[in-house]
Amino acid sequence: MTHALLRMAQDRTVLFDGAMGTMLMASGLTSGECPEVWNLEKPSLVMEIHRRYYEAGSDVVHTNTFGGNLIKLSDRGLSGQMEAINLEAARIAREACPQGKFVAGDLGPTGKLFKPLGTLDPHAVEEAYRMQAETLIKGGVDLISIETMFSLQEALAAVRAAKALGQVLVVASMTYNKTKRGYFTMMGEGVKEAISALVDAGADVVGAYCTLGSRDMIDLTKEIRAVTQKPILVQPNAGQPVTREGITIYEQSPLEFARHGKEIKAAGADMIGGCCGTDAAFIGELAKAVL
Amino acid sequence: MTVDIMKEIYDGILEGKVDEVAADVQKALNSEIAAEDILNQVLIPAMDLVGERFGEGEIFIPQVLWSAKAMQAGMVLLKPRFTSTSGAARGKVVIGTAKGDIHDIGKNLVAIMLEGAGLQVIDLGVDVSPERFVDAAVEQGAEVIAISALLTTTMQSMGEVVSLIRKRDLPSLKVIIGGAPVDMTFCRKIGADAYGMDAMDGMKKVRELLKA
Repeated sequence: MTHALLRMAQDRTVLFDGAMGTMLMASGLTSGECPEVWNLEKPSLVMEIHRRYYEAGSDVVHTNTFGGNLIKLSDRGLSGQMEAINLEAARIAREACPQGKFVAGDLGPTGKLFKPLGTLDPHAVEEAYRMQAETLIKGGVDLISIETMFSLQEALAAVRAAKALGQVLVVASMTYNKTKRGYFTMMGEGVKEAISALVDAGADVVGAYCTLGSRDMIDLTKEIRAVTQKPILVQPNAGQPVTREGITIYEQSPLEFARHGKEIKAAGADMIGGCCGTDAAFIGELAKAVL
Repeated sequence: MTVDIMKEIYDGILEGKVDEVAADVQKALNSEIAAEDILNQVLIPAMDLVGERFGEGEIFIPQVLWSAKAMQAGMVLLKPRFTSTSGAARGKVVIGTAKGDIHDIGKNLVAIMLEGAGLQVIDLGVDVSPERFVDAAVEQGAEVIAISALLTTTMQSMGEVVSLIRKRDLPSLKVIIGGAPVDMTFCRKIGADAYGMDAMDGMKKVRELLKA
């Protein structure tokens, strides 16, 4: 039985959301504050962000749980809040979600490296993602979206953890850098290597998220399409950040982003959204360009 | 024999062979090669090449970190052999990630490369306040404070470090900044002394700051 999101993707391009961090900062999130805590302390502001994306045309929004895994929360002394944060985040998105649209439970990177290079234990990582995914599903999300992963090993742990929970649609997106030799993750994994491994591990949708602006994502989309038949999700940044007067801004206009979005669709993307620097205006223009 | 063992160490670092580098450095020291020569003729050039390759996208984080571990394995053996006029005099750097920011992979990379360059590095970890940066630099007699930030929301505290240094009247204490959202414009704006584009560039700039 095909998941409703995949059926939608068969009919037309599916729109995801834009940045959460960017919108939270616009709503007053300050330096050093933990974004996920806003699910508990300022739920109405988080809900408003989800609403704006749905209204702009998003079919799917991500829960505000990018850093909501036990490992990242422990760094901030918030491990005891993992369940509450993820449950609330799911509830908030669910409440904002109109009939026929979707909520994706967001799983972001731990930010650390696996042993022996770093301190991460593979079992602990898989367990942390399993607990987070389980909590999000309990809270009512429609699918799990693993995003902005810079380590294939970590992404695979998250995919396996989510898949082990049963019939859940899993989207897995890596973040790639553009180098002279092509697109690679920070850990050195190429497109073919990463995509094949993710699909083998059970990912239903694969993609590219963050680091790159919309222009650079076009060629990356072609490369991903060349190695898989699976649906593809692409969420580019709004160009590269520049600093003016001490404030960091993304200079790209929603119109230009949307123009590239059209090319990303032509390159083979089934689902498109945005990342750092994007907001509801970007999604609005994207909707006009690709639907 | 001398030339061979030095080449072994150099290649070992490029290939990230931790145990072999340690064994070879010990062999070199045992055959009376000066610790400073091993550092200057092998460790630093090897690290320079690693940094260059990383900058060119020929190698990635895992390779850089293994090379760094190999370097460190050699450094551990060299340090006690440095005469008081070398190693220690090369310079002291306080490094950390800006207040509110917990990202540290880049910062850790820079710390390793600075150590490999023969500098003494005091790593304060993450989420470091301006006061902690400056207090540590003063206590430890460091000449440079290196600050890393990944978030646009935390880079503002870099300016606070510079202001604090001015307020405490410590003109010889230099500040270098780095991280994804940071650039030269921001560096000039807040009055920092240098900006490192990546780990390799950061290491070069720190060495320049220490010579000045």
